[in-house]
Amino acid sequence: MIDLFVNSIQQGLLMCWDPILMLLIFAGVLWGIFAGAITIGPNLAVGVILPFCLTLPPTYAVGLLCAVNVAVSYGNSIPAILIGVPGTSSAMLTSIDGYALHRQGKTGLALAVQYYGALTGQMVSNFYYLFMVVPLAQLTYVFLGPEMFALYALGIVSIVAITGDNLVKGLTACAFGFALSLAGRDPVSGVLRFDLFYDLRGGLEITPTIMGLLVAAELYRQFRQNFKWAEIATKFEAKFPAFKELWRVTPHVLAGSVIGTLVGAIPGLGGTQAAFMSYNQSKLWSKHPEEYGHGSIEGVAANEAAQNASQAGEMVPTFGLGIPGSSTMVFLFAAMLMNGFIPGPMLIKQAPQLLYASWGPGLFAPTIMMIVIGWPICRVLLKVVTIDRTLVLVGALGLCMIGVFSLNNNIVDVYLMIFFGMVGYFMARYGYPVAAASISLVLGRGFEAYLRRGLLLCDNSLWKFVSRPYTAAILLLSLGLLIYGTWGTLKLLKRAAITRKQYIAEHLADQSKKK
Amino acid sequence: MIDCGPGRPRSGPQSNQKAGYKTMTEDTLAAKSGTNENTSQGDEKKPATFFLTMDKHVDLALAIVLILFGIFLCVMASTFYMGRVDDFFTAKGMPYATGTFLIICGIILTVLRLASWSEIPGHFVVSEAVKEDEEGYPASWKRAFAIIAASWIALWLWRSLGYVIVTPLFLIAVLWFMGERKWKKIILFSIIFGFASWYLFSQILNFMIPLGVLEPLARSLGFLL
Repeated sequence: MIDLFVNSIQQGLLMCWDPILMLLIFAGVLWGIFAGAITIGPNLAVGVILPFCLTLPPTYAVGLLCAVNVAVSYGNSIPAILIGVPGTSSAMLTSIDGYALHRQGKTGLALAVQYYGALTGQMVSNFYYLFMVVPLAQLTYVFLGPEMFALYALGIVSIVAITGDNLVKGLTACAFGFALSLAGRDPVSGVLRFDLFYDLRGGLEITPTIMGLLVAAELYRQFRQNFKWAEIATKFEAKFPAFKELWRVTPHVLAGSVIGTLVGAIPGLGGTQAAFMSYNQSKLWSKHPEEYGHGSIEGVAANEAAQNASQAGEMVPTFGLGIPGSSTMVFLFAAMLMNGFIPGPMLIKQAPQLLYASWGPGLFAPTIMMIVIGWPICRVLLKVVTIDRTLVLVGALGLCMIGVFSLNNNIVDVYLMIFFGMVGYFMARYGYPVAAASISLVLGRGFEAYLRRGLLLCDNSLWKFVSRPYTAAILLLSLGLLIYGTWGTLKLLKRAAITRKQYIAEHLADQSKKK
Repeated sequence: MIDCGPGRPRSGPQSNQKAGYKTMTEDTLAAKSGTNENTSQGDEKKPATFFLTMDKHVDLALAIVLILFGIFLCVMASTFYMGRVDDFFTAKGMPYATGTFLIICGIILTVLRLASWSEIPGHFVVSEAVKEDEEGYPASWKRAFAIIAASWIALWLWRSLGYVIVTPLFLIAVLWFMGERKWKKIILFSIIFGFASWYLFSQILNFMIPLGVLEPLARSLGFLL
């Protein structure tokens, strides 16, 4: 295994000496950052490149697709920080804390933490990827339904960190997202559930629904007001901060990198879940948990490290197991199939050059390129605030609509996006965190499916289900995180409630004085 | 015609109830409790900021909607076919559990809202919003809803009239609602965006974008095969 690891690095680095390939990778990185910054999402960004990949050699195609995917993950946080609109769902928490920092005049600090977290996460995960690909192929025979259920449960527990100011509303949002995931065919018996409309028979399309809840809802919320960004960004600073400020977030970045790689490696989970879990654990051991949600650089760092590290993680099951780790990986899968390769455990033996291409030109080279050009590009994109806010928001809405339509060439998807945009608008305005609903929507199907199939595997015996070693270990970890996270959240909410009562008392006193 | 006029910079307390605006300065009171030992952990004392921007009637209505949604889930679940697989939860299990949880949460939220109904006089209570509006600029729910309605109408017309016709009209409407009044800017942006996005997605990326009534013309010009 060590030989494979060393050989992969050597061969991957050798591939980086190809000038044509590097030119392609550079173009892919620029396109990916731009696509992430204009919020069209990784699926569209990678999808538009796919037709061009048909004309390229397989190693070029794999390298280019991986590079675009990685760059989108970097670029999606820039609009999250500058205008409060996440480029993808995995940047949702950055749009809360990062945008808050921007409004406080700490734009340079927010962007620098994002730059540091994202690229450190990518660099760390690049090497984890190589370590994990081959051993993971062996876990195919060990990780069955109960183990997968435990992993999904671990993902769901992270919702506790994002319940907002009202724990009941947070849990309600989570249940709402879970309810949405129930539509469609039952995962065990195949019966139709909630098929009120023909299009619901296959279940709710996840991408348009999440685009609605996260992006369209935020756009509609921003449409409530009319002002120029330059008016509120009075102190606009894009200076790279001193290293000691970044040093404070380094532990969060490293932890996020590990979480991102590991969570991203689980099929069905991805950048969004990794980001939320990293944010949750970061808040648990932070010295300033009250800053989370109001401009925490640690929160931004943890989120960015995890969502960027998960890109390499997603490639682990894609190459190691033949299971696309995310919807973006499906494009990579398709590119390999079109070239006559079958992704899976045998691919590493039959076509190792694809593994080298996925690492060297696909992960390592883009990371190095973004270390060099990432900060200058951030400074260039700062000019977005001098652009008319109205035009940017209206253009973003237009792009979202046509982008979602292009996913399946189905107008029902756009109707879904608009409908959930409305739902998300009310949720966000009245304290129901859309992030919690989105994550439980994404995890809900797998959660139920693996629970029920796992129980069938264990002859409907709950004890047999939870006493499997890996399952027990992960469930205990989930329980521990749930208890600690709930206790921490309740502590913060209790303090906030006391302050709220003081404020109400002062407000009533002011009102009676005016009378 | 909905008057969703341009935003105004902060200029002191304003009352615009009739126009449908809810000014941040009217309903926003920031509590600055400097010695806020209860909310900060370290040596820093951070002031707390609250906004009275959440309509308690709407909040109560949402809680009731949740109860109804939970009941809907449970009622629909009772009609599901069980299937022949000897499954512990069956197809009904998760819907029942989720529906029941939503009913319970809805009841809790309703009770909590009613219990604190008279805490603050008036329609608005302390906001629990995930993100607040920008302070000092009027916020209009009518503007947001007008744009949502325009989105629905635009989608409805996409297939019949086509993307190239509907999208510029949609963008013109949205820009008008957002208070833009420079006609050259509105029309130029809308038409350029409409055509450019159609060309990018249809001709370069080869997605099938509906053209509606322009389809025969597009075919004759060679844009469609």
